[in-house]
Amino acid sequence: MLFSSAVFILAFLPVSLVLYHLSPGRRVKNLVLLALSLLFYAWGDPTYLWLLVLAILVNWAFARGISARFPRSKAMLACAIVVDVAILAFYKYEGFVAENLSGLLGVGVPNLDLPMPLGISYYTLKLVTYVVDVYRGDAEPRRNPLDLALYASFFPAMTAGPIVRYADFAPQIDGRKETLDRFVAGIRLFAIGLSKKVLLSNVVAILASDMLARGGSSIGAVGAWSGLLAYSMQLYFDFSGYSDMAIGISKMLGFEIGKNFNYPYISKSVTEFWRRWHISLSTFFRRYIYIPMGGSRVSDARLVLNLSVVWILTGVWHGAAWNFIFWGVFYLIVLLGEKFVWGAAVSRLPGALRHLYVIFVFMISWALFWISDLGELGTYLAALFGAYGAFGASKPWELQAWAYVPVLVVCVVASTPLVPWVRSRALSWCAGRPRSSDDYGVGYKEVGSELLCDCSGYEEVIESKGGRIALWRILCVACDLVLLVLMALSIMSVVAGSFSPLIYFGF
Amino acid sequence: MRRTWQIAYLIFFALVIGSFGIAWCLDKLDVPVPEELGLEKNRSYLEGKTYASFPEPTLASFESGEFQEGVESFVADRFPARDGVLLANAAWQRSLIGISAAAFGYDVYPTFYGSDYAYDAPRDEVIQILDPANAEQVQTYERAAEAYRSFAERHPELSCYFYEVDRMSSSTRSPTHDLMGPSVDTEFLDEHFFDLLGDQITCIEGSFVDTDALAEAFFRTDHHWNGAAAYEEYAKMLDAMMPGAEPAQVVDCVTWDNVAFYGSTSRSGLCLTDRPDHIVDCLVDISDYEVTINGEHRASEVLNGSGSYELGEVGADPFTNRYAEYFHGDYGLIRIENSDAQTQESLLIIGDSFDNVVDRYFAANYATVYVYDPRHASLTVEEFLKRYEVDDTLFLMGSTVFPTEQAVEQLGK
Repeated sequence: MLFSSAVFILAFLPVSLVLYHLSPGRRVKNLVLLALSLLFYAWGDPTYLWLLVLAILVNWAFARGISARFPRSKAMLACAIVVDVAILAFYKYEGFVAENLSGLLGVGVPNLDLPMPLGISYYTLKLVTYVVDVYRGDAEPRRNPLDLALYASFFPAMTAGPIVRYADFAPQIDGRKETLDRFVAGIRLFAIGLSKKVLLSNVVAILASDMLARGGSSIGAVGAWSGLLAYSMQLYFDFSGYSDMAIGISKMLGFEIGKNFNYPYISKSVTEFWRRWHISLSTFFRRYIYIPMGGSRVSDARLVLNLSVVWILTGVWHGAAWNFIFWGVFYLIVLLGEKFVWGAAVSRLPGALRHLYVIFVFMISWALFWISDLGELGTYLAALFGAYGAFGASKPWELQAWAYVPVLVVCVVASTPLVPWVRSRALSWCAGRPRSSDDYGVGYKEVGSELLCDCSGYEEVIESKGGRIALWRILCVACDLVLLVLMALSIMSVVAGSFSPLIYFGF
Repeated sequence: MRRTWQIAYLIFFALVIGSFGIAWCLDKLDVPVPEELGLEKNRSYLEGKTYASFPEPTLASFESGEFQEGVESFVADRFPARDGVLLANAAWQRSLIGISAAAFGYDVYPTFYGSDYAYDAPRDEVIQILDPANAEQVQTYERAAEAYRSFAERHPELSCYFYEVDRMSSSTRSPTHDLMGPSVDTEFLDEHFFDLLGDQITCIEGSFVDTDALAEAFFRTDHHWNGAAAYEEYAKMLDAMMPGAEPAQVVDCVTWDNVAFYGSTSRSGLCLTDRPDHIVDCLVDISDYEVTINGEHRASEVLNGSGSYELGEVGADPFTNRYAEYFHGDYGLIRIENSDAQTQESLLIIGDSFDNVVDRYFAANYATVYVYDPRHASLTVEEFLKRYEVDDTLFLMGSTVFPTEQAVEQLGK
C-alpha cells in the first residue's frame, strides 16, 4: 500500500488514526499500532509476512542472548548479523548472482526468481541496528518481542524508510506523548510530503519515463537533459516526499523520527551532498560499518578500503543490478577524488561553480542509477553530450519537455531552501528585527521540511520582543490553508489515477 | 487562539481524508446528498466504465493481491464527484501546459501531462496526437496489408474496396502533424499499408484536402466524422463501387442543437471545449428497411436516433456517447434488408464505428447490407462468407482498428 494511494489516504490512514487515538493506554496503543503495521505489510506482501515475523523473532532471540546469556558476546552479534544479511542476500540477490554466475561459468546456475519481500532492505537494516545497539549497550534488549515487532514493522517507515536507529526509537515505544501540537505538525508535514510526491514527482516522472522510453537517439541532447533533469527531480521529490509523509504520520502517532533529506541539491561538494541525501542510510553506513572499520582516522590506504566497502555496499543495497554497483563505484571515485585530488581546488571556486559541479555529478550519477541496460545507458549518455544533435529524430513539440517547464521551475525552487528562507525573513520581520538571524536556533539552510511545520515555538519569542504577533499568526494560518489546498489537489490527483511509481519501493 | 486554529485544522484534515468514508456512510444510511456527488452512480459516462464494486474477500484473492487491487479501484472509483475530480485535475495541469505553450508559441498542446490528446486552441477542439512511427509500427501495418491482400486473393469473386479514413489521429492534415517527427500519418499508411494491398483491392481516398476541411468534417470533441461529411464520403465510396449509381436521396441535413455533447476525444482527453458538439445528420429517403442485429430482429429506428431526438428522449448524463446513441452502437453483425434497393446485390461492410453513420445509406443501393465489426463478431469473415452470399466488400475502418491482431485474425484463413 503506497502512502500516495487512494486506499491508504482515504481508508487506512483515517481508520488507523481513529483506532489508535481511541485506544486506551500505552500497551493497547502499541498493540493496535503493531496490528495495523502487520496489516499494512500483509496488504502489500502477504506472501512474506512470515519472513518479517521470523526475522523479528530471530533478532529478538539473539539480542536476549547477547545481553543475558553471553554478555557482550561478539559471536552472538556476528551470528545475528550473518543471519540478517543472509536473508537479505538470498531474497534480494539470488537471481542476480545466479544470472552472473551462469554467464561467467557458462553453466546454468538455477535461478529461483524469487519475488523480493516488501521492505526487506529497510527492516533488515533496522534489525541490525537493534542487535548492534544492544551489543554496544546503547539500548536494552526488549523483553517483549511485540515491542521489537512494533519497531521493525512500524508502518510509517516500513517500505521506504527513514531507517530509524533502534536506540532512537526505543524510548518512544513506551515513553512517547501524543500531543495536539505534534499531531498538527504531522498533518502539515504529511501534506508537504504528499504534494511533493503526487504534484511534483509523479508529474515529472511522465516526462522522464517518456524520454527514457524513446531512447537517446530519438530525443537528442535537449530531450536527454530534460529527461535527466525530470528524473533527478522525480527521484528527489518521490523519496523526500515519501520520507516527509513517513515522518508526518509518525508525528500523528506521537513518534519523532529524524529528517531524511536536507536540501541536498544545494550542496557545494559531493561530500556535503551525502550529508544531506538519504541521511538515515548514510548514517547507518557511517555508524555501523565505516566507523567500526576505523572511519577516517586511519592511513590513506585504509581510508580508501573503508570508503570502497561502504560505497560498494551502498550501491549493492540499492539494487541487484550492475548499474547500481557502478553507481556506488562512481560515487566512491568522486568522493576519493574530492578527498585526495580536487577537493581543495573545488573549495576555492565561487559558490555558483561549486553548485554546478555538484549538480553535474549527481545528475550523471542518476543516469547510472536510472538506466539498468548498459547499452541504453551508453546511448543516453551519448545523447546528453550531443551525439544525436539537439532533438534527435524528434521535433521539439513532440518531446513535450517544453510543457513541463512550469513544473520543473517549481521543482527547482522547491529543491532549494527558499521557503524556509522566506519563513526566516518573515519571522525576523514579525519579531521586529531588520535582518534575519539565527537567534531562534534555526539556520534556514538546515531546516528540513519537518521544521517548517512548527510555527508554535516562535510565538512566545515574537510576543516577548513585542513583535507583530497577529501578522505572524495570519501568515501561519495562510500557510496552513495553502497546505490544505495542496493536500486536496494531491488527493484529486491520486483519485485521478496519476502515474505513480515509487522508485525506492523496490528496496 | 492557536489551540482553536489547531483544532479547526484537525477537523479540516479529518474532512479531507475522511471524505470517502463520510460519503460512503451517508450513502449506506440513505441520507440524501447532492446529486453532483455522484454517490448513486454505478457507471461513468465520462470514463465509459462501470465503477468497481467492493471485491469479495477471500484468502486466495488476498494472497494474489487481487483483493487489494479491487479495494484500491473501489475507493478511487467511489470518490465523491469523481467525474468532477478527474476534469478538475486535468484542468489545472492543462493550465500549466497552456502557460508553457503560450511562452513557446504553440497553439496546440496536450490536455494533461501524459495525455494522448491535444487541445487545438484556435479551433477549440480536442484531437488525438499522431503516433510516432517506428520499426514496430512498420511491421504491424505491413503484416496487416499482407493479410488483407491474401484475403482478397482468396476471394476473387468479391469486389473489394478499402476506404482510407483520413482522420485527425493519422492524417498529414492534422494540426499536430507538422509538430511531430516521423509519425503514423497518411504518407506512412500509404507506404506501409495501402500501397501494399495489391490490385484485388481498390483503395478509395478520402476527400479532406486540408486541415480546415478535416476539422470541418469531424466533430470537435469526438474522433468520428459528422453526418454531413460522412454522407459526402458515402457518395464517393458509392461512385467507386457502383459507378453511376444514385446515392440515397437526402431529405434534410439536421443539426440537433437541443442536444449538446462532449465526445470521445473530450472525454478521453478530460478537456471540455468552450463549445460542445451537436449531432449533425443527413436524413435520407429510404423506404422501410429491415434490421437484424446479431440474429435478432430490431426496429429500423435502431440505426438512426432522429425519432428519439425529436422527442427529446436522450441520455441524461452530459457525457453520454451521443454518436453511439444517435447512430447506433457497435455490434458483431448487423443485417439491413431493403427490398426497394436500386440493385439486388449484397454488400459486406467490414468496419468499426465509422460505418455507423453510413451503413443505412448503402441500403438504398444494395438489397442486403451486412455490417461486420471484427471487434465484436463471433464468426471470422471466412466463416461468414461460407454462410452468406456477398457481392461487394468494403473495408471501412480507422487506422487504430484495421491493423490490429484481432482484426487481422478475424479475416480468417
